[in-house]
This record gives sequence, structure tokens and C-alpha cells, in this order.
Amino acid sequence: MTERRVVITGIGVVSPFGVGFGAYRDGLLAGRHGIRPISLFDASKSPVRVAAEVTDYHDDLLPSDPRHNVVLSRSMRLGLVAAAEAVSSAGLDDRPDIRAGMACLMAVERYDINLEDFGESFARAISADADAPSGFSFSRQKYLSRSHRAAHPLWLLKFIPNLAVAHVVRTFGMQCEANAYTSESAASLQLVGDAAESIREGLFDAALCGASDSRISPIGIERYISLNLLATGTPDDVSISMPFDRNRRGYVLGEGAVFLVVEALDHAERRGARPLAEIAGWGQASDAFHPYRAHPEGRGLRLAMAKALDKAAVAPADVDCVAAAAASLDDLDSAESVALRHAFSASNPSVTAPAGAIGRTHTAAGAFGAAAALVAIASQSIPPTANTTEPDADSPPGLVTGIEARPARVRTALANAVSFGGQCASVVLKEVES
Amino acid sequence: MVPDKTEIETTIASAIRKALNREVGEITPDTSLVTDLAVDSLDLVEIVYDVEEAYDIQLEPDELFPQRLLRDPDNVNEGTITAGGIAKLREQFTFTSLAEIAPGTPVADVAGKLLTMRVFADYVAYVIGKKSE
Repeated sequence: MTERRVVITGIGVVSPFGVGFGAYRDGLLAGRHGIRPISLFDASKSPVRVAAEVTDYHDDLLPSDPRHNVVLSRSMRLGLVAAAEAVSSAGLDDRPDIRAGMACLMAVERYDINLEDFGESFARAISADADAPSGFSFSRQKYLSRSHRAAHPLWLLKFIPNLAVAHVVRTFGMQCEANAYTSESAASLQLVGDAAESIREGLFDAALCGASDSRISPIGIERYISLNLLATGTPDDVSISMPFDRNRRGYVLGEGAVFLVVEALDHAERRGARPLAEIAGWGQASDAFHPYRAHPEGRGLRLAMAKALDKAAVAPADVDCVAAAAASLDDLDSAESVALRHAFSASNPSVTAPAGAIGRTHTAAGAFGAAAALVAIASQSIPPTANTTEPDADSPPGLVTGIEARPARVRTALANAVSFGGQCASVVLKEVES
Repeated sequence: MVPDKTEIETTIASAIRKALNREVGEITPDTSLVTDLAVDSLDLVEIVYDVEEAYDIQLEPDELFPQRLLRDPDNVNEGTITAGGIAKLREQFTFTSLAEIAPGTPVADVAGKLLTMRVFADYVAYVIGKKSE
């Protein structure tokens, strides 16, 4: 018996280019980027002044019950809007019967305690203390007895990762399995592979797969400044997300959401849905190396790519495009360069790194890579890597830079994701022959 | 000092409008939070919280909402409230004059009949009164 083929039949994107897959596609192909001075809060005193924010989101776009807006974090909201577009573009708006049998696999973030929710209640629990080095101390007793009440009574619900998935399945009436993945950037590709595997096994016929991430907040930013991972600069320095560039000096925080409808080809054909691409292969591996640095030889990513290509029965020479994980990070970009040279020693596939345009979107980064691979297949051209003007000497030879998409015959595209923590995942997408 | 009922009702009404965040028609003492305003459990958390903050009091959900009483099989017969159940409700809701609830009223309807603006405001006045004693 031949194995069940798995395809993508719908996509939804909310990105720094705006709401909709079309905005993401057009932005990438035009070589633009979505990095601007931070507007979500006053960052004027921060060493990090820019980010890739989603700018044209508004709550009226939400497909969910507006009565529950109060318990939705920004990340959850972006995710719901992307999920709605994916469901719609797959032709499932009027098919509650099919949605009821769909799984939902979603990469979620560790929601940060944020100052908007807690600043006031923490402040009320601080009082003068002559014995403390700062002259002040935080009173747990005061906090618990009264001052915690400055926070919204339902705040907890905005901070529970699996509720992000719960809101999606409730909104679309999906009653099959619903899982939250937490392994950072790689998560949103891991779950695409898991969905495809489960569909092959016959556990379900279709799944809504995606991720949303939004951590552009004072505490969110401070965490990465402390680790020396973010590029710093003035508000005019908007071109500082430069994957594989020799002048790269850290990454730019990006936010957004991507959802895909992953479906058995036979199921899609029966209901007359048009596949956007086939999910031909998927692979996962780990660096097993460092809490947040990439292995210098990219050993996790090498393995992940090898497994994905093997599963897809695709020779390295047949890969036309790679959507790279590189995000303007010193170590990650170099590691991926080494891994790509190793994987494609006899060929030079075109390489694009969407993080140049939208920054590092953390848990959503893998899904944004898969979406970039879909753009390449749909448009038969390779989006340029925004902001990269002086590729590093060891950067992939096929790296596409400049401001114009490079026309190319794209039958097969590979997307990579690498997490802080060393989880790596790759997915191979193929044009569907009609 | 206990504020007058109208002021308490105004406070509750503004907490309701804030929590519901949608167009709500006129709110009178007879308005039921459950049947007229479709307030759900998430909304109630916010409403109760805001009222508590406004008067620096602690409301006890068990005193205002009769769920526990209505789960007791002694008070319920085939999904409807018994005469004994109604007597116990009156014991619990001594702070207000309860609407007419006849034996045989479906349990699902009892909460709607009970949780009116008037009852809520009477309860808040009762808690404020207890505190200032």
C-alpha cells in the first residue's frame, strides 16, 4: 500500500507586513522589511529601539466571541486572526462537519509577566525599608493581602499557554486532539511533521497547524538584552536584521502568527480543495550542546535536514530553495551556513532568510519559514533576504540578496528552524503536480 | 455608613457595563443579570471584583449564588426546586425580599430569577453594613 500523501490546503498569516498571507508574500517578494521604531510601548530609554511589530491588527478582525477578548493576550489574538484566514482559505468556513474532526497543533510561547498587568500591583507592595540596599523592599504580605488586586481578576487566563490552543479550537469547533508545543522556534515545524505523520497513520484527516508569538514588551526585550542577543541602535537603525551578513550584531524581535491547514491529499481531493504544496518530508534533531547557543557545526540542523530529505526521498541536488532559520545571530547563522554547505555539498540551492524582513519571531519562526517556502513555490521565485548587503564569507553560496525576487523553477523547497536550546526541525515542501 | 440602594445599583450597573463591553439596554432593579443581560461566569468574576474594589469589601459567592443549595438532592425533585428548597433559599437570602419562586420551578431558572440587580444591591448593602458594625 502506498503511503498517504499530505498537503497544505490553507494558509493564514499575520506579520509585520500586515494581516494576510498576501501581505507577507508581497512584502517578501519586494525585498521589503517590517522593522520600525517600537510603538507598542515607550522604548525611548531602551538600548533596543526597533522591532518588527504587526501594525495593522485590530480586534474587529477576531473570529472569536468578543466577550472573551478580555482573556486574550496579544499573541492569542494574532493567532486567532491567522487561524481564521487559514480555515477560510482552505474552504472550511462552511464545513463545521470537517472542522469537528480536525486536530489543532499550535506552538505557543511562555507568556511574560508584563508591566501593563502587574506594574501597579507590584508597585503597591513596595515600601521604604532602611535595611534594604536600595532603600525599598517588596512585601509579599502586602502583595497577597491587598495590592495584588490592582491586576485584572482574570489575568491568569491570558498567561496559560494551552489556552491559546483552546481558544482556536473553540472558535472553529475542532474537537480532535489539540496540543500546545513549547520548544521555541523549531516547535512550529515540529508540529507540521507530527501532523503529517499522524495523518499518514490515519489518526485524523486534517489539522490546523500554526504558531503565534508576541513578546515585544519591556520585560520581553530586557530578557534578550541581558543575554546579549538583540541588536541595539537608534530608532533610525531599522535595517539591522541582516541574516548571514558579516556586519550582523544580533537579532530583531519580530511578532506574528502563521497557520496552515495540513490535510491528507485524498481527503482534499474528495472535497475539491486545491493543494498549495505537498509536505513531502520532515525531520527533527537536537544540537545537544548549549542552553541558547547553536552548535558551531550545526550538527542538529544537519541531522534534521538529512532526515527530512530522506523521508521525502528527495536528493539534495533536487532542492531548489531553502528558507533558512538564520536570524542575524552570530552563532546561529554561522552554524546554519556550515550545515547547509554540508547538506548541499554538490549543489547550491537558492537560500532566503525571512528573518531579515520580519525579525526573529521565536515560536512562529519555523512556520514563517514554511510560509516563505510556500511563497517561493507559489510565485516561482526566491524572495531576497532583506537587509543583507554584505554576506559573510562562509554564507551559503546560493543566498539571494538585493531587493528583487529571483525568478527560478521551484519544485522543492526546504524550511529550517533552530530553537534557542538546540532543537532543530526541517520540512520539505513540494509543488503538487496537477 | 451604608450608601443608599440607588448608589449601589449605579456602581453595580457600571461594573456590568464595563465587564460586558457591549451595548446593554436600560438596567433596572428588576433586571436579571442572568436572563436579561446574559452575564456569564467570566463576566461575574470581573463584576464582583469591581464592586468589591468600589466599597473595599469581600463578597462571598456562596451567599449570593445558590449553586450549592441547588445541588443538594434534598432541595430538588426531578430538576425542579421543592418547597423545602425554597424555604432554605429564603433562609439564605434574608438580606432581601425574594421574588416569587414557586415549588416546581426548574433549577436552571432559579438563578435567573434570583440574581436581579435588586438582590445584588441588597446583598452589597448587607455586606457593607456588616463591615461597619
